[in-house]
Amino acid sequence: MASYNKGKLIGLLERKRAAYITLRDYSTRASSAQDALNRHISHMRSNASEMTAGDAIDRLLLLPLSEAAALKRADVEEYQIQRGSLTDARRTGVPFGMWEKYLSMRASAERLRADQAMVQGRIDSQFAVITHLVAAVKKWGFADPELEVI
Amino acid sequence: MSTNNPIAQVDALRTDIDRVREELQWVNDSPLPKDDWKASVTRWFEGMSAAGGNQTTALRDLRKPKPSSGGGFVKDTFLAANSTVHQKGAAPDVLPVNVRLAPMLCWLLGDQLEQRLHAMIDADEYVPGPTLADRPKLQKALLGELRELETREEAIITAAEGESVFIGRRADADPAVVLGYDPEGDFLLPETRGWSSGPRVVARDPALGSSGSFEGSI
Repeated sequence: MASYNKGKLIGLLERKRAAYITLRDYSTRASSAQDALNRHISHMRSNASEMTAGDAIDRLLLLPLSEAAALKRADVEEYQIQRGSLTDARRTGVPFGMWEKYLSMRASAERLRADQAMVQGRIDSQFAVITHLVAAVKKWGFADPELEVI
Repeated sequence: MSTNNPIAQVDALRTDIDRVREELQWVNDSPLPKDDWKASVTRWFEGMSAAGGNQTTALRDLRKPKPSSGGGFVKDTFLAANSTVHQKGAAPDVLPVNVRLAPMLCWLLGDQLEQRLHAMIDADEYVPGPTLADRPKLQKALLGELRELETREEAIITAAEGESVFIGRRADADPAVVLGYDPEGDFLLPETRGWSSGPRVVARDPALGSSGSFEGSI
């Protein structure tokens, strides 16, 4: 009588399923953090646009996080425009506190994305064998074990 | 293995598994020794020569006052003339020809050609693998060793899981080893493939039943 350790395979399938539920949680948190960050950026841009400083803020938003975090209050709250031989300082409309909140939200979103990628990689490598196990079980002539894990 | 660390044990086994797989690949794919190579060439010549020399029917066709091929070359075997290649600018009634010369050349000049090729084989410098005769025995031994290593690896992983230490299985692990597949049985016989008499599943996982195991039909 042909046999295989079905209990072991079911256990692996259940662990894989649990791991993907965890991954989904990471994904949801990363997505929420990114949405919140996007809303905050919109708010900053709106403030800057009112002061016709949209371009100046956009340039700051393009900086890598480490460079953005190194900016001083004046770098954020003011920008310079050239008028002939004179340099004129203008307000960006973005208070430094708002910028600091942006940095914090961006760091959080990036960390969550990195965590998600790490967990995804770990799950993918840890459970890659399961696809082959299920295929082998079906090839041996047994019923699809995945149908038994809901 | 001196360490009790299951991860280190599995790593060491995986190094051995890789080694055995490389040896197996060498046994499967390595170039033949020169004697086997020459024998392979000779077999090829014999086959070609037989095809080229099988001209009796075609030759006798030409003995007829009106050959069935309509004169000229007999279709099929004699010079292996097939109507597949069209001649550019040919008149509509000229049959296109496709002449396969290799069988005829082997039939006529096979010995000389074979000697030339054997001389080329003698002059070639390479690292040969095992002889064709030795390969099945070596393959069997290596597959046995591989199976043993994978079985030990799986045993360590399973034991570690019992201690809540999870070690990822290799994506290319042998499913039969991981799942303890036992092919002994009648389910592969066509007459037993029906649902009512198909293979039965033996669950050996104690967690699945108070008795420690259960069986179920698929």
